[in-house]
Amino acid sequence: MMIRSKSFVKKTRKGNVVKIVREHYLRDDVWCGAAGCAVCAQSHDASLESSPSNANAFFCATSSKGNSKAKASTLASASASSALPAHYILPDTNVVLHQMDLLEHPTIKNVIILQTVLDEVRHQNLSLHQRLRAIISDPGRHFHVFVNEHRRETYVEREKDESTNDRNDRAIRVAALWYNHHLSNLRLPVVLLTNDRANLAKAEDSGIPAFTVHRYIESCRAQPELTDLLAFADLDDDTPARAAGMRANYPEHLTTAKLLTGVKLGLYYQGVLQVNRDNPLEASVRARSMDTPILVHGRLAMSRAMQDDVVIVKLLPQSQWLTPSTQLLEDESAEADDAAAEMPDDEQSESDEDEPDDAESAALDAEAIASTVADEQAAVAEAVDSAVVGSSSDARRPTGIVVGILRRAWRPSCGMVIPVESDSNGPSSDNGPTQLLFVPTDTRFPHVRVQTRRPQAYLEQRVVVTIDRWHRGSRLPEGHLVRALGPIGEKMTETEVLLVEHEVRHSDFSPAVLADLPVLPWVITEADRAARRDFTHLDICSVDPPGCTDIDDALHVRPLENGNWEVGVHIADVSHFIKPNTAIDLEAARRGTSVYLIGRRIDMIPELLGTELCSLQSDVERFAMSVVWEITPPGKPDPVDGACRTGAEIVRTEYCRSIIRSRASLTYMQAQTMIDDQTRRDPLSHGLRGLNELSKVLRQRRLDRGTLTLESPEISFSLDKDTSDPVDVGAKQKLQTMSMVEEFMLLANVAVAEHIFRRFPQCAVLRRHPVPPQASFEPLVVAARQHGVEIKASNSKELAESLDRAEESFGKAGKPYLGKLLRILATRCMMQAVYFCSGTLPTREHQHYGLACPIYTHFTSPIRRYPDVLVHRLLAVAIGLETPTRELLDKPKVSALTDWLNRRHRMAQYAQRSSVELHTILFFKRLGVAEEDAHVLRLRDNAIVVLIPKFGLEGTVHLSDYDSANIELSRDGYKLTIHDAVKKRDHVFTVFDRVRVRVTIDATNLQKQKVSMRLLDPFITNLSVEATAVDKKPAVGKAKETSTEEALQQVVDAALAEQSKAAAQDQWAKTREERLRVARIAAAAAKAAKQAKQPTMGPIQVMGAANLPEPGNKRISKLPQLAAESSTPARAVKAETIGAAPSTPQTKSAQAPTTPATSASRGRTAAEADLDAAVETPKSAKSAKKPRLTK
Amino acid sequence: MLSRKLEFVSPEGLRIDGRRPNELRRIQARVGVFMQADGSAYIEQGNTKILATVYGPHEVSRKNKPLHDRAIINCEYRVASFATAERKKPVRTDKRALDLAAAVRGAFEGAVMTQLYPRSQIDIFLQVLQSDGGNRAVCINAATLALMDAGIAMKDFVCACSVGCIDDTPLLDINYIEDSAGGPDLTVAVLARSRKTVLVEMDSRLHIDRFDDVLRLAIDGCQAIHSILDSAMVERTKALLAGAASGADADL
Repeated sequence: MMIRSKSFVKKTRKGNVVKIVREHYLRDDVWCGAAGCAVCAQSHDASLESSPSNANAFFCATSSKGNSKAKASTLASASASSALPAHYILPDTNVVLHQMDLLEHPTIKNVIILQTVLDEVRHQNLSLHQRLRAIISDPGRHFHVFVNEHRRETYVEREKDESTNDRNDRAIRVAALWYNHHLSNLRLPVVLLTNDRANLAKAEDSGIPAFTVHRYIESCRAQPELTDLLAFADLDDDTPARAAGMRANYPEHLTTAKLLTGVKLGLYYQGVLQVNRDNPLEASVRARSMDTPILVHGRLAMSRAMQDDVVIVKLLPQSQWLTPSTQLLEDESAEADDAAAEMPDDEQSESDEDEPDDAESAALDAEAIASTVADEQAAVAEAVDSAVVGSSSDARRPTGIVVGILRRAWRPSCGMVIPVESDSNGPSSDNGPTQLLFVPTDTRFPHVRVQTRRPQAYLEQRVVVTIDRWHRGSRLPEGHLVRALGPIGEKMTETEVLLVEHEVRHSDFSPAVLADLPVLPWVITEADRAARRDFTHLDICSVDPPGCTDIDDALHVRPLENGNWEVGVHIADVSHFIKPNTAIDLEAARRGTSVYLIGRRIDMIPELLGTELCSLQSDVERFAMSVVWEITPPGKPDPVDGACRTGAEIVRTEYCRSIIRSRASLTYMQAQTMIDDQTRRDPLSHGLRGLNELSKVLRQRRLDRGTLTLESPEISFSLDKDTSDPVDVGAKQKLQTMSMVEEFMLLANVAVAEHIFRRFPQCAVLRRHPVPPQASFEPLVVAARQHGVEIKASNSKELAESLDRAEESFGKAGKPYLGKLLRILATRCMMQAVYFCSGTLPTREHQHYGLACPIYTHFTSPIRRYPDVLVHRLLAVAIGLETPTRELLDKPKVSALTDWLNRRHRMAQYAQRSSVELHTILFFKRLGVAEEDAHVLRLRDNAIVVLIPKFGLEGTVHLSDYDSANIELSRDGYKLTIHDAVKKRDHVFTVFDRVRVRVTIDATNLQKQKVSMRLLDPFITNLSVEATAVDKKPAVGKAKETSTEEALQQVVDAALAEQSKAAAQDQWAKTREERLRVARIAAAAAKAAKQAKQPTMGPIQVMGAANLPEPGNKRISKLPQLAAESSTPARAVKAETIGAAPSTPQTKSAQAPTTPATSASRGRTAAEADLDAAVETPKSAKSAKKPRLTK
Repeated sequence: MLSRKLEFVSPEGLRIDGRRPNELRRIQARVGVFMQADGSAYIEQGNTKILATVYGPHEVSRKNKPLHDRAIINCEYRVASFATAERKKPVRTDKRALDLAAAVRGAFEGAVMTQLYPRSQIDIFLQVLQSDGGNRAVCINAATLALMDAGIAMKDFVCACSVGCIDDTPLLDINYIEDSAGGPDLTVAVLARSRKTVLVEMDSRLHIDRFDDVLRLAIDGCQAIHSILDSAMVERTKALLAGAASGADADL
């Protein structure tokens, strides 16, 4: 073994520069990995196949004669059509970084990954590194990691004046050459794939067969889909010809060093770019050092940054600050902007200013930074000061421009492609690649240019696209097609889309995971029996929604001799089957939770466990984790209000592992019948009655403590048995048994939380629900006051009481639905409940606001939630049954894991909600037109947000078509007056008012079909639509008639949707009147623009047109939504505002399309205030997810 | 789930510096490097470089009380201020240094035949010239050689080795980066032939299930080190013999 010392200079955290010397051992026992290699025969399993010809079949394998060098040179010069013998592939770093989708394609096999490459990838992009590792670990793919850095022959020392990149490139070439010599006996060339021109030339010089990826792949005609996976080549990025021919559309980003220095000096601000959902041309950046988010307005100011990127923002002088747009921008105009962007402009050459070349401008930048540091600091300080002072009177917000991007958050996104028509080069006229424009579903992302040889395979399909790069000369980013998911609008496709969009892992479980499953037939051994309490003699039963197969909880009660009762909650012992750090455990942690979509369930653990071995089915012996209490029997009801408050005191709590045999798997309905039917005398019915009595006491005590009642029976769809299309939307019945089960689950969760926290004060996995800030209750309080009710929200008890009082008084006034609406609003004021590691927060912050208890966790559903598995493990250690693993006690690790699980939990909820939304649309599509009663939820100056209780559907009635002069929103935003100009009448809308609306599906936009609502009653000329005959009939043929009140109750949870996020956005100083004022200005501008017959599209200069293949003739084919009137009225008013930014000289010609818009309706996708009080009725939630099948 | 931490053992089975988990660093040992002392040795184990000098047995110094049945072993440990990447200001009472010196002394009290030298004192001075992890073990190895060089009677070689455990993989002879991962650092010293342990010390915590593996690896490492120390000693003896034969060195 040889040794080299590696030394490098590093900056320490304190800022000292130190020289670090590390050893670097060079070995002879690093194997090539080729199966047929005689030299390395002693190595363990070779990962590369001995005859890889079948794998890379695109080159027909022919015998090749002559020495390897001669062969190599002929190979290198060979044209694409010539034959390449069987070979291995050796990609360089950039190929791996940019062409990961290609590498992931199963036909790419027998690839050698050098350690140099692996390290560089890891350093640059951790998620790509993980994807690469995933491929490598798949034995079927025959990827081999060659640790060239530690092999004696292939180690390369950095030469003097050689950059790290050059050194790495050289290392890769040296390794490739070594491989070619090493495998020369096998006649197996190793082909270097590189897109770096210089590297390619050098490789060819030294006799290594080398290709660019594009040439390599394009020569494989047998597999055209591979070409689609190719990312845009970086080959000619820096060629002078291209640079000269291309005009920069966007300012250059500053170097990372400059950016970081700027942030340190306080010149720039760092934060994550959040694009406005309602207006993709506007974004905000929350910087740590600023109280208010910084507004970034227009594509130009965003400077190629996208949603979720970590960006550095420079503040503009205060004179250029803008007001955030308050109107709801419909996606048409934004898309039209993009379309316009692709349109070349004839006047381009005239208006272009001479631009300093790159080097010069960089120098200028540097100088500018150096010289203006002091000035700018002063300016910034002033700006920030005045932002604080001026905020109350001025709606303008700190506005900035992006000067650099620290980290891209590019991930695959779903959408559709539309062809880019060009007159001279029709699509697929020849075999050349066709240009397509990708329109993402998420409007916050810009359109992406992609190309393919097989456009027919992608048009009208949902496709997944990865963004590869965004060149500053290109108006739009470039990307490549990953795959097509299926035809647009089909249920299967759209479900797939929402899974991809929410990053839900839904592929089948890998063989490694399945290998960890217990061997069948599974039998209970004597050792198992010895380690567990035997509860098989107890009358245990489970109560679940109908059709539930993953039963994770069961209950029992029996009288004890001393007169007390013994109550047991038995939870499926998942932690017995899933041991820490096994493949199955890691997969479960990665999934985090099961996802229940309508008509589909994505399991967290394989079905064998989830619905068989763990599931507490009836009449079989199953393992359980049990919590057993000794409880005093329930006392007599209170004579005053009939509620029972006495008894049910816990005397003793015990935790154990057990074996149970459930007597029956009941449904809620069955259990209810057994309780109600007094003639039944069997022990099970008797037990259920006892449990029910106990639960009432527990519940009453919880209510007295101040638990919020935010009932959440969800809407459930009845699906057609064959097509599984939704045929009916129905209410879920709320049964006593549901709250009975819920009560005992809560009891168990709290007990376990206390127990594990006592034993592990530092690393217990708990769940908390933070107290919402008082300000977030404002909409609730104001809305209630308008209807004459006072709501107090200083603590959860007061809130619960005042909500109860309000409901009562509304009930007396004959407006019972108002109480329910109030509860919906209250729910939206809540924060989100989260898992956390107990050691990371002070004890007082552990509390659960919604449940009004100081400590809480999730213990009762380990089959479908990973946190519960963790809690089970902790409990097993706490009761002395297991020894803790290191991960379990590692506070930072547990904390990171809970963060991940929170994220998964949230994503799963979003996915579930999207699924509901999808089915709502499908349902209404079947229905055609529906005319329904609705209630006003929120008012905006260009929209009314209403809720249809019957369907739990929230929608927006747009007023933008109506003359804005006749619309007036009161200063507090709770009263909207619309003047009917024809009938000379005023219509006043307040929150909670009843209106009648017509619901249709707007399918004009293929990409995003949406529910459209028009006003029916009150009738306003030119705004409302005439009621049709449909109105007279019941709107939903077969739908069960549910009273308004009942139906309202259903929607509480659906309505949970938004508020937490919306509230957060609202918080920063944006008072009602400011918004109003701005809106009015915008509206006036709109009017003016309309009168002036502003052309549909502003004169936008497309400077990047040169990089399009056919400049001058490009046109976007007009889809319906693109063709829609997209006059963006305020452009005339504000277009040039960004232009004055000092460091962006180009802005004058590349005009920023700016459009004020309101955030009238925030999408349903906003964060949900997930309340345990509401969600903790797990079964009701679960049942909604399971389709009821109807004939 | 994503964490950008160092990968201490790659899936290919190599550590950061290219060793496998059960491999020692390169060890170079020289005995008798310092003529002024009675015995001296210099060991380079990877980038950890330690000079050990032994004085004695000699008369007990004034501050110590002589033991009438055996010798006192005195041990001092110093880290040169230039030994680490960042220059450290020397501290007079460095508790760690005292601990380490006490550990070394403890290890040798069981190995040196102190009863042969009653009412006398043996001084071991350990000087770290460059520090790159495993100092405690390397100090013991260097001291063994220096003691032998001084001609002090010992029962056996005392060989020491440190083992870390990162992500449940026991790593032999951890260097500074591996040590700073925060995992356990177990130092074991054994009498080479009898395989008796004279020192077991561990920083940080280790799961009990793992301890056996880690300890076994450490003892294996000690065996490997023994053969290296042995050959260094043989070499020194040969050199002395050659010198004696030529009459150039009468130091024997």
